[in-house]
Amino acid sequence: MQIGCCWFDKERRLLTDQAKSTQWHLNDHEYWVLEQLVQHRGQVVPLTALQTVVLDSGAHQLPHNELVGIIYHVIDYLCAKHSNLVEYIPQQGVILYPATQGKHTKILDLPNRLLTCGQYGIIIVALLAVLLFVLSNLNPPLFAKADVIRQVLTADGQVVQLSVFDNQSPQDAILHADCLSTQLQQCHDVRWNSISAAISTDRHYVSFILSQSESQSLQFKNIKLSVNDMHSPFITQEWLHKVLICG
Amino acid sequence: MFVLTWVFVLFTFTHALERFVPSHQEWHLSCRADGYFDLPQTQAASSVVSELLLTFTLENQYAALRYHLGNESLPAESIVLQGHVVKVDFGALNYQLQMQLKSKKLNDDSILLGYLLNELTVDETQLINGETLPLEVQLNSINDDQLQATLTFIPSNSIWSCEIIPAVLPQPH
Repeated sequence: MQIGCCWFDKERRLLTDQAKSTQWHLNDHEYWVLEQLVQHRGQVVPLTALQTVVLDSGAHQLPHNELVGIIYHVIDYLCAKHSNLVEYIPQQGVILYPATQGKHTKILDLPNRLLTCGQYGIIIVALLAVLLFVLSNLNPPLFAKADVIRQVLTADGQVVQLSVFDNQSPQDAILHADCLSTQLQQCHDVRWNSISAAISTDRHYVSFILSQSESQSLQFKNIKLSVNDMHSPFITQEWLHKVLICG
Repeated sequence: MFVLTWVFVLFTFTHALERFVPSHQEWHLSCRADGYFDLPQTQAASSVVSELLLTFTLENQYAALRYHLGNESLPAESIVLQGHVVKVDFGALNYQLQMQLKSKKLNDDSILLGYLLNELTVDETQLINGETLPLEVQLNSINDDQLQATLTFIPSNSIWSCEIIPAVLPQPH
């Protein structure tokens, strides 16, 4: 059984200090004293009870000096790291406490020691603070969501996904999305199944990305367009043919 | 509780690593667009299709943007900007760059210049005088086989779909 940092082997009558890797072979008297303390752990064992040694061969009295010597030896051996594990009360008795009440000072002094609630709380708070800090630094992708999304069914039965990005004016985005989808519906051969349009912040340019994903390959094309008046529709059937979206 | 302590330590460590260790990420993007730009003087020629090419290079802390514009009616124009990476946000693949004009070949009433002033959100004098230009770009919609990505210029809201050129591996001599 474990007593402090020592392992008490009753069969081999051996007390092993695991921290220092030292062993103490107990003789009959030493074993008797320690055995009594272990049996009455948490209670004061009277000196008179310890003095009456009962062995297989019979019972005899232990001299007081020898008993005190053994007690101090046990205290020295067991209490090197765990002070107050064994306490000697002169003229009365000896007590082996069930567990030591060490002071928890170092957070990383684990697993031999436990964290106090305060330290545990500090770690959790620090962890949450770091988490929030990291999350606040992660910017969501700007283009995760288009401002206007349309699905257009063309004259030849093809579905075209239309996305319009405009960080300035939702009205313009809707205007051009509607205009483009109306014109696309009249198209007979749309070569692309996804069309993205981004209206520039200064309202003078529109970037188009056309893409067509086939079984293995992805085809794409960019179109850059300068526009005089962004508030009026500019997409016509003729324009769709000119930029090769249609036909 | 022991595990939590280590999670905390690991978290702090990786976060610090991400902040202070320079990125070794490389991007070589090749982008091509059909440009339908109003020619400043001749409105009649607005139906001319221009070919606009953009090469975006990012190697460790080095960054470069090469623009080339060509069409049938006018001499070709080009602009090269070089600079370095100031800040990287890996969470969103967002790069803040400091760029500077390295070389230019522009016509009078340049189409490319007008386009770039919008895309890069800079003043003409700033660009031409070779001043340091802050630039923010974001890579998104990288497809599964890492062959195509969308490049977004912030805050101009200009988007490009680009081909990802795989990094050239050093050849044994």
